[in-house]
Amino acid sequence: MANRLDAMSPAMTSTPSINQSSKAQDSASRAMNNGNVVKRLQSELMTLMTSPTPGISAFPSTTDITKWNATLAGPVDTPYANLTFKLTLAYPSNYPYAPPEVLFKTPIYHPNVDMSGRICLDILKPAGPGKEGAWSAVLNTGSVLLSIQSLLGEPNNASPLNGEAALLWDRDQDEYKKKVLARHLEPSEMEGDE
Amino acid sequence: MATASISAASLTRREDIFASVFPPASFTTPTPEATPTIGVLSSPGKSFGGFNHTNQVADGAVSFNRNWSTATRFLTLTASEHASHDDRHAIREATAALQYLWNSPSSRSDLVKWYNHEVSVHYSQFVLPSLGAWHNPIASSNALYVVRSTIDILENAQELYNKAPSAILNVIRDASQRSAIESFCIQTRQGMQRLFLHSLPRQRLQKTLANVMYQLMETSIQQSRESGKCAKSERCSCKVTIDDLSFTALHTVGLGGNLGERAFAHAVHKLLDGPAVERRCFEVDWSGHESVVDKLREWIQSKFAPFVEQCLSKLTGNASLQLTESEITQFVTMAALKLGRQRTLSLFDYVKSWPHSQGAVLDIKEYLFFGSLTDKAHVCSSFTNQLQNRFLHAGVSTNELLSIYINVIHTFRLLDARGVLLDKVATPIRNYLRARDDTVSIIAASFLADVDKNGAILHSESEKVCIDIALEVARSNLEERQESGTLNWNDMDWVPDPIDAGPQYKSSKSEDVVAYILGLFEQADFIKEVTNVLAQHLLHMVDSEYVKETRLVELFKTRLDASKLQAAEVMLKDVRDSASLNRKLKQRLAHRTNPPATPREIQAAIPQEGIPMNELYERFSNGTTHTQFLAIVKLVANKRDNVLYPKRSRLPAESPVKKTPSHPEFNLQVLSSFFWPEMQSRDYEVPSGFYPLQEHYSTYFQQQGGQRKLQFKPALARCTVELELEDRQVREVDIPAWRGSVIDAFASERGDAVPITYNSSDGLTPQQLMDALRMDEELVMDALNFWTAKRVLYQCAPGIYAVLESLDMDTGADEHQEQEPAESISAVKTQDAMFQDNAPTFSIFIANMLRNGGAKEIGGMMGITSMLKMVLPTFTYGEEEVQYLLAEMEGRGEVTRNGDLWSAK
Repeated sequence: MANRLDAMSPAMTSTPSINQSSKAQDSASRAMNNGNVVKRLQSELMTLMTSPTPGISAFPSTTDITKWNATLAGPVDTPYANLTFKLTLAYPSNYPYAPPEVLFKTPIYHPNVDMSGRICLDILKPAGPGKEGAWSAVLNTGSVLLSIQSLLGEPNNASPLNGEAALLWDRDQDEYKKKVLARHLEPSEMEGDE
Repeated sequence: MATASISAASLTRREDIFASVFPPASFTTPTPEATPTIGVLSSPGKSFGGFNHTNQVADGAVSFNRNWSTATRFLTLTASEHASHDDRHAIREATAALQYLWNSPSSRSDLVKWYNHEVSVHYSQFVLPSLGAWHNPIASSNALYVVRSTIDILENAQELYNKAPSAILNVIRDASQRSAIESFCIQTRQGMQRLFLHSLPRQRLQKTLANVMYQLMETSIQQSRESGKCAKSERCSCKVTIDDLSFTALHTVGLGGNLGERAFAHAVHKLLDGPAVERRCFEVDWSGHESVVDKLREWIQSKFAPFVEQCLSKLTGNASLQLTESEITQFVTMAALKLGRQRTLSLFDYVKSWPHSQGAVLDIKEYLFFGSLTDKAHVCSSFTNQLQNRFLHAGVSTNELLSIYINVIHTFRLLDARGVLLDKVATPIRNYLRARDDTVSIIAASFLADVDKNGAILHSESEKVCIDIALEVARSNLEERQESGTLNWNDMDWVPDPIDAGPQYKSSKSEDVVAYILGLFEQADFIKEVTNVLAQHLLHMVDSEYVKETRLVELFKTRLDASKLQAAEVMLKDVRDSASLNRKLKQRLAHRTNPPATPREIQAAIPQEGIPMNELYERFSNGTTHTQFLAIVKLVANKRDNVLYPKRSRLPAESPVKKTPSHPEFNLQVLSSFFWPEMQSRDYEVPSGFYPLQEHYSTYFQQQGGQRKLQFKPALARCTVELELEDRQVREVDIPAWRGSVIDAFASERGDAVPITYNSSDGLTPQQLMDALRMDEELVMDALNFWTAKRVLYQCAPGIYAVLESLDMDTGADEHQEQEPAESISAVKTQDAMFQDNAPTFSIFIANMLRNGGAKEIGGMMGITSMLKMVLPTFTYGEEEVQYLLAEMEGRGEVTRNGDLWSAK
């Protein structure tokens, strides 16, 4: 399958000598994006589909392949157990050299997630000299989602976005769980918010 | 009377102009006779001569009045037309009076005016009523009659009005008198002509005249054509005449002139714009393939133009009138344009019957040469319409479409070598062809089809091959392409009209039909399809030369992206390598199977005078290894200087050689799996005799080929089967191996491992065969049907098959399956099979899409189908397939349906 994907690369190296390319419109929408990004995302998608990780799933949300929706299951043995979270991923045009922008769509009470769903996670920030991020091109959608899933169970309380949650996590797990459940909405309850 | 004061002759010219536009002034005053001047009372002196005094003025007035009276009385027209013009005395008197009046300019014009008035009064009173037909529209059937009678009436009237002056002319001899009368006649005739002209409705007159002229010319041309000989000859000698209408008479009565000329011009135009061109003489030249425009030009120059010239000179009374060169050219252009437009109307038919219709196409080419840009657009749009109406619909097979497409290319390249027009008209066909599923495969198959010298397809499957493409490919030249193309910047001669040039006009120049065909599709798609067809083709090839295939791949390499044709090249190399591999292997196999040479044989082969060692070995190399050979040689020969001499010794008696059974001939096709399209990989047990051979080949291949491993694909194998039945022998050449495998299961004489035991009383069921041969039901049934149709097997009971050992056996079934089932299972995987293989992947994609993206419809911009196509390029199916997948997933409980919306569970 992977070979076939390569063969179908949307980057058109040559146009047919007689004009009127039959797939002109088809390629037009893709041409907006960098061909390499599309290619990379297609193969990531293929990997995600063929070897899925339990509790994690993601798929392009529109015909623009650089915007994805993802679904996470809360890890068991954490306050988030049995909860389902929706996220969005937006890939920059220089992906995978820059990290995707990941947001929680489901309201979540978590030390490293703010009220609008932004996530404070080192691998989601660009790396490089003078930068504190830890993004790397070897990471992919699957590993990013896996990291976020594990972040749910192991928050980084050293640099919280939600200070109250960080305090509560250490002091009162029961109260913490109550807050989590109070804030949480299941995807079916969120209909119409999108 | 105001007019009386006009005296100067210089004004007459202005009057002429004036009168040609406006009707003549009407005189209300009767002739001066009504108030005769009988002298002036104050001039008594003359009578008595007493005063020697002559009143000049009064004298002049008296003589004027007297002369006027005499002249007008003589000229007066009476209703009865019986004015006496015979009286010589009266004539002489009138002549004198006229001459007197004529000499004074003022009285001259007065006289002319008076006579014109007299004529007009008479005309409107007595002549005009008989011309009443002109008050109503004139039917064209009646037109000739009306025109003729009008001319007659007017001629008579003219004669009548000229009677008096001509009576004078008959009598007098004096030259000065004659000239006075003659100029009077001329002036009055002009007046009459104007009068006639104004008395008739001008438009109607002109139209009717034009109609009559046209009718006459058309009839004459039609009749002339009946000779029918000029259709065949190179020139058209049809004549146009218009004898039934005298142009001279028209001119005489004043209906010639501008009006007549205009009418004639209309008629000529109409003639050229129709009947003159639509004759059999200028039919499409189906036999000579030449344009008829030259013939048309010839006809116009030699026949038509002189006729027009003649008519015009009659009509205008100007004998020296001549048509100019440019006018004749205009006639030719007009006719050629008409011819072209007419041809354009059935251009589609000509395209269809190309190349026999070359003549017609050349006509259109001439038309475009004469015509303007709009004519080019006309040809294009007209042809496009014809295409849409008659051709681009579901009832036309793709073969036909392709054939016509090729014809269109030929035709329009002839019309316009630069391909600009072609680009315009070909677009709809191209788009339509692209929409057809089978176009690519037909093109690919056509490229590979064998064509014999007569242009017929050699092998079957004619419905999948477009003969024209095959011929075109056979014709196209590889080398031709080398120096042409966009890069030839030195070609200074060729520039299209800027307005005609498409954005890629440079590249469209040198492309031949093959290039147009290849350009129909995206290169990648096309190459993929070609690779598939080529793979099928190569697998079925018997000939091991692959000349045609090599040529084809080379052709593609020059035309398409050479790097993308790697797969095709590898495939070709594979089959070639396989051929040589088979040769080698067969030799090796021969070593094994041929009994090694015996010492006695070798001894017998050594001549007394000796033989070089190598030479001797060559004779025995077939079956004897070198070491064996050396051992034997030591035994039977003496060696000196590498030359062997026979030893004189007795050899021990030999044991009789055991005959080994001959192996079946076994050929191998090694395919590099990565480069060949995905093949059927159904596995099953091949006839047991194959296994040792396969193993043998595998090991050998591994010794030769390094890293590569052989993986047998029995689904692609073909075999030749010979069956020995009780009463006959059956030989089936080159059938799929599963058929061989199945019939092998029914064999009665076999040695080693038997997958299933057949005995004629119990027979075998398909299920048994499927289990024993580990073969799909589809293949088993195909094989059983095949052998049943060949009357090798029969159903001894429903679902149980047995061998029909002798044909006269009672098969128990009346109906015979006579026809052989078509070879329905192709080697390359079908779209459907690919879909089935990939269905799980597709389902996962759909499930994830719905889980993350919420509920979706199947169709639409953001529907499941289009999303799937976007994220998964291998998904090349439609909504039906998605529907099918969703239904299956619903069955497994993975998705739910809510109206048109599907969502994940």
